[in-house]
Formats: sequence, C-alpha cells, structure tokens
Amino acid sequence: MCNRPIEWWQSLDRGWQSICLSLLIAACATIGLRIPW
Amino acid sequence: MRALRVVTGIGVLAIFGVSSRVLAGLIGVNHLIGAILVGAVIANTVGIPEYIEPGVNTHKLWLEAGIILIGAGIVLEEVFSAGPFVLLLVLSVIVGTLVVAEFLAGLLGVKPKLGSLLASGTSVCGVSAVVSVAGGIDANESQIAYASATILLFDALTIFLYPAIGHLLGLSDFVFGVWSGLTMFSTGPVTAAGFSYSAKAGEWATLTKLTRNASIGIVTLLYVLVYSHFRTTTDSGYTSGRGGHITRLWTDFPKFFIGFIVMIFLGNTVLSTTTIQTLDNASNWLFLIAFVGLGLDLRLENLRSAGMIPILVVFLTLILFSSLVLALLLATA
Repeated sequence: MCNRPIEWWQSLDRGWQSICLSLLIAACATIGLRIPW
Repeated sequence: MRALRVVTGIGVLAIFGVSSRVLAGLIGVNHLIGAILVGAVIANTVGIPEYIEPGVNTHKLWLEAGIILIGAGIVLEEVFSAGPFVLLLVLSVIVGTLVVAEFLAGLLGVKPKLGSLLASGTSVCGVSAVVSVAGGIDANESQIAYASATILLFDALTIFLYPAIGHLLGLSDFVFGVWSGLTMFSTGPVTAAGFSYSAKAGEWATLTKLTRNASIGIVTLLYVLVYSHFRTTTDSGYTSGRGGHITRLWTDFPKFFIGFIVMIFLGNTVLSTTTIQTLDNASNWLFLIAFVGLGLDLRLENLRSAGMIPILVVFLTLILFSSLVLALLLATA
C-alpha cells in the first residue's frame, strides 16, 4: 500500500520529479510556510 | 532498504551543505563555491561510502528543483527587453560552436563520433548532451567516457575561473550571466558560477543556459540524420535512434524547463512578493545541497581519462567563443 507512492515517484523522469517537488514547495509557500535563509 | 540509503545520502548532503555554508562564511568564500570545494575535497580524499551513493546521486534533482523555483523571481519585462538579443546569441553560439568543434576535431584527427560528442557537449549542455547524442549516433562506452571526462574537466575549471575573470574585469550582472550561460558547459556549473557572482547574474546565466539546453533534442536529431544519411560508419556503426523523430525530440527535452517557464509565469502573475522571497530562499537551500553533490562528482580519477587532443579541441573552441561572446556583450550591453 505505502509502496505505491514510492513506485509512482520512481517511475517518473527526473524532470517531472523536480517539477512536482518545486510545485509542492511553491504550494507550501503560498499557504504561508516561510523558509528562512 | 534502498529508501533508507537514499534518505541517509540526502542527509549527508544536507549536513555537508550547512557545514560548507558556515565554513565559507568564516573564510570569506561564496557559499556555493564553498559547497563545491567541500564536496570535491571529500570525494578526492576520504571518499564517500557506497551505502549513501543512491542518496548523493539525487543532487541533480535538487539542482533542477532549485532552478525551477528561481523562475518565480525572474521579471518578465527584463526577459522580453533582452530576450530577442539573447536568443539570437544562443542560436549563433550553438551553431557556431558545433561547426568549429567539429572542424577542429576533424583537423586534429579525432574520430568522427568522438568529435561529435565533444561538439555537442561544448555547444549544448555538457555531459547530458554527450549522453543524448551518443544514444542517437550509437557511440560506444569508451567514446562517451572520453568525451564526458573532457567536458567535466572544463566544468571543474570554469566553475572557479569564470567568476574570478568576471570580478577581475568588473563585468555587470547581465554580461556575466549571459556570458557564462552561453559559453560554459554543464547546467550545474553554470548555475553555481552565476549565483556565486550575484543573484541577478545567476538568473541570467540560468535563463540563457536553459534556452541552450532546450535545443538538445534538435541537436541530437540533427546528428541522427547526419550519421544515418551522410557519414560512413568507420568507428562503430550508426543507428537511426530509438523511436520516431518526434519521440526523440520529446525524450531528450529537459522536462524541468517546462516547470521553469510555468514558475516564471506564476511569479509574474499570482505569487506575492513574500512567497517569491520564500521560494528564493528554498532554491538557495536546494542549490547548497545540489552543489555539495556536484563537488562529490568532481573526482580526479574520472578526469584522468580525458585525452590531450580532445582537451585541445574543447579548449580552443571554448577560448574562441568565450572571448568572442564576451567582446560582443561588452560592445553591445
């Protein structure tokens, strides 16, 4: 059951993985999560 | 089990990243250059255990995600005002570099396929282009390793030399960014050199480099056509490529470029200034982790397999286009 998301993630081309990751970060930033530097 | 190795490797990248940021601050070096140096020193001294390699090898994912996120901070008006000029330069450099590198390789007696791999790596996007074109023209493993080592050698040198030359000549952010984006080879080193110079230079370097990268499918397709129709198969046979030409174009296309474009539009329309600042901070962290991994990839043993003649071909092409482009940018910008 919990292997499915991992398998789906691994099936993606690295370019799509980076798009998913950056959209996730953008979504978190949009709802108010702040990342300091 | 593999997941644990990946997570551990990413954790190691993060720890080295944070340490190198602190260390770079203490000795007064840019944090991105510091991250690459820390990675390179570790890789060439104590090395990294094989157990964490799957995690360390994720560094290109962090690089691409970081590049996508900096898209949010790019101001479209600036891109549109300089866009046609930069686009013309990108096209001229890709075609010019391909022609000159192929000519020099032929002149210096480099085998056709190795010459083509060097030309594609020099003109488009470093090792990615070498691997992509190699698949299209059916180059063998040793030719790929030979060409990749040559490109990696210049990547390792230009990461440090370009910012040093830029500061020495007092180049503006725009000139430095476009110059490095047009004439350096692989995406990681271009991004590192650009952002170590300044945030604005980094944006121009990335934008210019990604435009270059977008041509990878067309260049590969061009080589497939040339090798299948005109060139004889003296060094190891040819192939017409996997699948049709449209499939080939799509397979080779760097998908994260789509994310980068989407993020530029989001940044210029719906995202607030605070959100863009957070995304910029996130990309800084992603780059820090990615560049430690990039440094860990700079292993001397991989660079030793580069031969003198291929090095000469790439060196002459780089010197020619680097100076030509810089002169042109200084004269017009």
